[in-house]
Amino acid sequence: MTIGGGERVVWFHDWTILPGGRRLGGVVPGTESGWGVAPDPALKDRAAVLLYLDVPEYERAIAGLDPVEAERAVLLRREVFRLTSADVWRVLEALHSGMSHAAKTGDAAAFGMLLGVAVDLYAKGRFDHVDTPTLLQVALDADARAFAEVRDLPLGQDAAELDRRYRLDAGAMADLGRPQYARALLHVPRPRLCLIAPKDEALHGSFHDEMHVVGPSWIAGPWPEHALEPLRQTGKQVELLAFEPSALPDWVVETPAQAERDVLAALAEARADLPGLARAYGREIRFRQHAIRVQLASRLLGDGAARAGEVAQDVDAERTQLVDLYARSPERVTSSLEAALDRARTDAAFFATRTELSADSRRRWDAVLTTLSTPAGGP
Amino acid sequence: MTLKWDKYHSYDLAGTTNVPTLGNNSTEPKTFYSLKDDLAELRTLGSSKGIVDAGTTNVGTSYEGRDLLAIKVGKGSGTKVLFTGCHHAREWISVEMVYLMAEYLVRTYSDSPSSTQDKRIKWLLDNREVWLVPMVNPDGHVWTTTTDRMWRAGRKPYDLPDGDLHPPRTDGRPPRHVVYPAGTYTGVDLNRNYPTSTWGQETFDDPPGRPKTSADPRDGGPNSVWFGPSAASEPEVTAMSSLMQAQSFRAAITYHSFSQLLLYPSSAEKDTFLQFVGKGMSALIDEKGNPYTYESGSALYPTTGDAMEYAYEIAPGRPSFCPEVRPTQANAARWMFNLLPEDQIEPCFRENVAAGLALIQCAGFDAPAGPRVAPAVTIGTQTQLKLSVMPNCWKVFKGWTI
Repeated sequence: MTIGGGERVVWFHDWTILPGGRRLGGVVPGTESGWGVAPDPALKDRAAVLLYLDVPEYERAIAGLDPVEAERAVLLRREVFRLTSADVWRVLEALHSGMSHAAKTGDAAAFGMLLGVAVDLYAKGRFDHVDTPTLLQVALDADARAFAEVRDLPLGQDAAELDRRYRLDAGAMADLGRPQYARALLHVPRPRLCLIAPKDEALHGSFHDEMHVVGPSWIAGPWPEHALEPLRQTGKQVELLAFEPSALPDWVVETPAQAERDVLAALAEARADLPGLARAYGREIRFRQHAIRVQLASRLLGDGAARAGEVAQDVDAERTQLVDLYARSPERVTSSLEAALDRARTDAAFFATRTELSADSRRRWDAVLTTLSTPAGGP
Repeated sequence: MTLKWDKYHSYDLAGTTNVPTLGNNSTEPKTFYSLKDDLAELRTLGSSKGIVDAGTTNVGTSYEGRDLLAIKVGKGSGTKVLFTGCHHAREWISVEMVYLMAEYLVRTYSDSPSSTQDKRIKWLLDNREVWLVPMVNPDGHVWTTTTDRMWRAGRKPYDLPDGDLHPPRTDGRPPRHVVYPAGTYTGVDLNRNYPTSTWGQETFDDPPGRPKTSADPRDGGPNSVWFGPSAASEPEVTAMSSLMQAQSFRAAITYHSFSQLLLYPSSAEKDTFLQFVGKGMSALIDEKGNPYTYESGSALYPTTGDAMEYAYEIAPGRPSFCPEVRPTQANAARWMFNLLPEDQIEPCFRENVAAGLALIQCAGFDAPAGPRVAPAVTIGTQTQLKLSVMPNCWKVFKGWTI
């Protein structure tokens, strides 16, 4: 089943009155309530509970589950899904995909436009409530992470350039009377998302208040990079699922059957293409570094800081490096730049109408939609 | 009574900002109250009632220069009690437990109380001095709103040379060999940095668990258990331990999340008075229908250099507790571990308030030296039974409602 963009999977109380809607399942016999597919216009003024942001997402969620398990998964989703923590990532994912296509085809204008939108979504206004030293700490953390990962993973990126970037920002911090960061590279913890087997009580206890997923014979969770080898030496099988634990929150709120399926799929993917996983991760951390440094440059310029011009110039240079990075990173989310743009526009338009988002968020989605609808290179 | 329990407090931001989502690859809007503003408002109100010292606004300064915001409530300076929250940055609910206690005490106090409960509050604040420090780790808390929602530690950086250590451990096993490279390390666990007699010893669950208290600076960071380069190396811990030394608190409570436990110091297993108070507090929590397990801190996992043990070490025999509040381990996934939603703040405070009040009251009592009924003593020609009955200090809070 493939249904185009602009359709969502929702829970609705009466599918007979939802124009264009199609019920897929329900739990109360003899009623018309349940979950199904509905077009965006039909949802504008109706109290439907969002479950999945498109049909493929729903299909992935129930893949391989028997009907009882699938129903359980949908009901759990109805309880835990929050658009407020999903909307930005959803559009960022499409924007990253679009940037990758634009970089591969040499469409510099489209790349620049999409990068600008992505940077704003990720970081604009996020640091307004903190002072410049705190913002510099955020930037240094991102710089140190990018440098350390590029150095340690086979990412083929210029470690010397990233080291220079760290030192530039550390210099700006030293200018504010905090020289510690300039003396030695900041150590950034790099917890890796791992599958550890066999599980036992002691292993489970060691996760205590850290997010993790428990499978039939294993535990999936973050483990400090420096502690992986000591753990292996105790006889545990330790396999990498991802370079950072960002997938974990999704697994945690799934049914056990879903979580097991997804963890094992991640394991298979990591085993099959670890370099590809590393490149995607490398792109992600470089994007975050750039988004934060855009805010930093703006702040330093506003403060009249000594190195403001140098940092701003460097942020411009970083954009060019990102084009190369996106051109080399794998892309599987959308099939083309146009498809990525379509998805981002459709979602932004939909989010701009959602009352579960704040008025500020809805205005932001309106602005994103306007930018994405303006021809690249236009006014 | 309605308190400010519908949103979390940030250090000083009143309003909405985009904070990192779990996994830190996206953001979501979050609306906060400002702890700085709200404590200032409480100081003004409490000062007008004569129960708050308006001059006490903080108990020290963080590494990054933020105030360790505090409020001192009550007139009974002979009997001081300490409430602390947010040693661990990501445990936002712990800020609220302490702030809401302050708000509840200040707003409820009246010179002419009518209800039994209000009379009890008046008596408490006329006879106790309660110091409340809701956010011991403001730098870490700010970091959770800008960079890493799951950050736990403080933010002071250390420029360390190459390390090659064999740190002692509490379980008697041979020390492990810790080797780490030179670098700038950030993220000492404030709740492993207190200058207890055991600071500097590593602790472990059974193998192959990770350390629960670590000498390795690489164990700092979001899930930090790094005890730091020296005892009380962190300015926040120095401030708190100095305060505890200077004020001779007769009871202390430090809130954490999660697991729904009420922990007591592992060295207080046989402390009759502390156990009497603790079991009473536990009963008061449990009567609200969402039970917490009452157990020793080491039953959860062994630690060194933590605030609860430190309070007990410098004031032996005085009650010192650590509630690990909502959610339960079983509900952890539903509430994303330390991401307790805002609608849980109010019920969490409601189930903890009577226990907190009981601690304040019990702080004024002492442990009987001997058995509950002492041997007969003869005074002159009369033989008397010397009764040494435990004070009924917590039972008066049974059925407490707000």
